[in-house]
Amino acid sequence: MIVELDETSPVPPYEQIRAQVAAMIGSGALPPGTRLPPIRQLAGDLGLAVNTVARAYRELESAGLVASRVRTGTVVAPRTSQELDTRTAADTRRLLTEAVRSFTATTRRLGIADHDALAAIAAELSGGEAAG
Amino acid sequence: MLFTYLLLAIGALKLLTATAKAIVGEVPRDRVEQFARLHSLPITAGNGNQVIVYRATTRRWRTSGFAAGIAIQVAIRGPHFLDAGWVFVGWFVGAAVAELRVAHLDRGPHASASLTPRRLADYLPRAGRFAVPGTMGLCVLTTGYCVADHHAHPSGDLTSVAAWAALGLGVGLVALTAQRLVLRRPQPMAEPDQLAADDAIRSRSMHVLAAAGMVLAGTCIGSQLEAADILHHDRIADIFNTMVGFGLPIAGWILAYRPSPARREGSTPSAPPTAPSAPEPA
Repeated sequence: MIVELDETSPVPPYEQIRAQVAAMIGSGALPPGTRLPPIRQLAGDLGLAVNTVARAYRELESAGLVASRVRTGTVVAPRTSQELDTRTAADTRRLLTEAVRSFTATTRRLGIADHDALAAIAAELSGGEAAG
Repeated sequence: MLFTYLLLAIGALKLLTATAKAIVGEVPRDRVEQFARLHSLPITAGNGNQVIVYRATTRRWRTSGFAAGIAIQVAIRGPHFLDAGWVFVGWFVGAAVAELRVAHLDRGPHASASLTPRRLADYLPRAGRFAVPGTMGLCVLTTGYCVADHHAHPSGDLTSVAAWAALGLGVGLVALTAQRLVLRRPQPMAEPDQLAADDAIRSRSMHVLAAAGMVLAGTCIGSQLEAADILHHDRIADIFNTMVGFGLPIAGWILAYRPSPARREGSTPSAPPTAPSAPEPA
């Protein structure tokens, strides 16, 4: 399971980490009880400040996705089936919004007109090749 | 007299030559092969340089520490009172410093990292993990024994006993701290062969630090017993000292050169400690 940072993205690094870990938890790739790496380890591996990763973990904790324990560190929190349903849907909506924001930021940066961007998305969704 | 000085000069020259060779010379091929064998690591075009750079860095610093251990002693006490223990201390300090200097994998244009936590247990067997703390514990117990037995050996110097205990514990702490730094050294995602080499390098560092820390802290135990004037008066202490004096270096050598396959970097994070827990009541 890998976390990847896009340094060119307008999305702040802590949010990129949070979104990716949340998506993994939502999809079940990170099952409840799974240990996440210590903050210092992840920060060192990604070349980020400790506070950046700590913020991502805090956000995940406040969303009830992970729990921090003194002995075991940060682990994926257990969830009820009802929570699982609602949280998966919420995660999906949030991920969609993030993807759209990221896409929009990229098209703006590249100077692509809105109708061209929409055409590219339509082409991708209809199964054709995305417009270059 | 002249002959003695001639021998000392030749020895010093040889030491300087060997140190210079270790600092700036090439890493011999057999050293790389030995490393690969110890960690069952296939050397590839991608990770060969990684291993060579690691061997060169550690050799440079360990040799420098070793030479400094000799040079400092010669400067302070003269060439006739060379203590192997202090030479080993120099080597150990060099080994610990080397771990700070070992370069980590390049992060590349896109930083990425595994969500798998790195643990000491991934790189060291159980015996290795307890080697340094266990020896530190023995150091404390020996201090207690020396203090308790002081009435039977009043000529013993308890201040020296305490100083040796502090040194033993200090060495242990340096070893444990260096191990922690090795564990925290960044490991961004890279090609599998590079990750395998990185894990092998960590494992090697852990083994060497654990073994050296244990032997060095163990040396302090013998010195404690000697300072307390217990040796040669107490049979149990003599047996204990012999066991520590011979046993720990042998155990250290076995630990340092024990074949240890590189940790396989999984693509999945560590499994939950137990089966996923039942849903909690809201």
